[in-house]
Amino acid sequence: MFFLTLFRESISFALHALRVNRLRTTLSLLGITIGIFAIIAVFTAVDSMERKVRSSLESLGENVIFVQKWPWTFGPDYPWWKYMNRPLPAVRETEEILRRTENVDAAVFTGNIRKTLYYKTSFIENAQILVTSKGYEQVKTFELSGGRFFTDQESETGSAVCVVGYGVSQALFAGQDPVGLELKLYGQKVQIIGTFAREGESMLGNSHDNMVAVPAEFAQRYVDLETDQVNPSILVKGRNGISVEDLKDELMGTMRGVRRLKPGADDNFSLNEVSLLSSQSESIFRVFGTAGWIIGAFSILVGGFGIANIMFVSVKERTNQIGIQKALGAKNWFILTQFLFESVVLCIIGGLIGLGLVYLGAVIASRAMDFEFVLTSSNVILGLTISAMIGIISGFIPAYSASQLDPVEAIRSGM
Amino acid sequence: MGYTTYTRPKFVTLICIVGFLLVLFSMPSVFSPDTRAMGDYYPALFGMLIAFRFIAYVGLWHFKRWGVELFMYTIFANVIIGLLTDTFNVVGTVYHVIILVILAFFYKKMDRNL
Repeated sequence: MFFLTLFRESISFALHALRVNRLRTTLSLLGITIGIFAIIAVFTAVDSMERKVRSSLESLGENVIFVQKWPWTFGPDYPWWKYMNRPLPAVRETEEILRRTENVDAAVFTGNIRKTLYYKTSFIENAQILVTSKGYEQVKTFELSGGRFFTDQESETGSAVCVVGYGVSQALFAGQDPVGLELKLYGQKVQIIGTFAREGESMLGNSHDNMVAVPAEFAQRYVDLETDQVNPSILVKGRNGISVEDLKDELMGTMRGVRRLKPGADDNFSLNEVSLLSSQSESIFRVFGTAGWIIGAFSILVGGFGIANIMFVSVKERTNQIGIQKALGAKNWFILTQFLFESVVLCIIGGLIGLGLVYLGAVIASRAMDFEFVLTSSNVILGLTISAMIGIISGFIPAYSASQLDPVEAIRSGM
Repeated sequence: MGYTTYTRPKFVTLICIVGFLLVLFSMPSVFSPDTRAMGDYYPALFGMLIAFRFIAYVGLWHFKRWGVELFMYTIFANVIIGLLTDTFNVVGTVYHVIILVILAFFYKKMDRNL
């Protein structure tokens, strides 16, 4: 109870001192405000981007291996000319993988084509056409907002059916339910049987929003799927409980068998896994985080010196008042706590303003960039902790010097 | 009635200077990516620990007993946090315990007031 009274008195002393010197207080707050703003803004941006990348990577599927021509990571002296001559993954290889392996739950061939889509008098130039074999829904994570995905029979027979993304649906049908309508692709009527639910922008460019999915068997009647322009891949998902390493080992042997590679011959395919991308993205975000940390540390240091300076001035100005307080019986620790609280309150106010600016910036940036920046509770706690820490460190020496003043000398100095 | 005078030994001065520098360099690590990865409340605990250690060094600089006592509490807290979060630093703890033992020799000569 006594401590609470002391706390309340110290806070009111501190707020009074801040009120009577508004300009000085504001200027000294700026250092902390800018420091907290710099640190937390960078952390907020990095955390938001990291979360977005992570959700994009999750949509690629856990326990999924991509059989492709090119590897996702290159060493400094990688033999690109060897990779150039590699054959591309084909639809028939997907079936071979399914037939020859034991640990594989699902395998699907995918490719991307750019083609103009028509609906009556409307059209989308260079629309992204996603070509898939059967089993796409078993490997990739997505939701449908209407209709259904291809049946195995539709995939195998190459029926003229498609599933459209949210962006395509908005661009061509403007509010109308597209399920049951017909698009024109390669001069053929293609019936829309489903729509992908809205996913938003993806950091990896793999959002279904601007895609139109068609069966691979249908697409290969009009276009050669074994070309670099299509960027063909085979996505292989392991059974539950099978590690990526085990799946990779089995796939390595299977693919060498499918491609009839002799023992000792180099692989002519790459087995890429999502963890490669996540570890790379983690290292990139770590660099950004460290950069923000260094910038913020210097700003906070400067802000801390500013607060220490202003507290020394405050002690000097109120020496007479301190003397009177001590003469009336105030203990050393009361004076110490009073000034320490003033410093901490000053820093926390500066920190709160900085956090407010970050929040405002996050809201504005989220609306302007169609990307969600979120000021997380952990960053708010961090901002307030740093503020309090700087308040204690920069305010303790002035507060302690105030508490050690001799009352007689202190009263005399102010007369 | 004479005043008691307290003179800070040079060794304690050295300990304080090194301590202030360590606090200064530890401050940025409160919000480093590694510390943040330890959990939401870890930077707060770590930050407060550094702030109290700074206060302890100020106490030692003024040759006060509470400086040694606060320094001991911060070491104790540091060990507990380290053990709980699996970040126990043997070298750091040994260094601080050695400092504490040295300070214990001067403890009786120190000022007992605030």
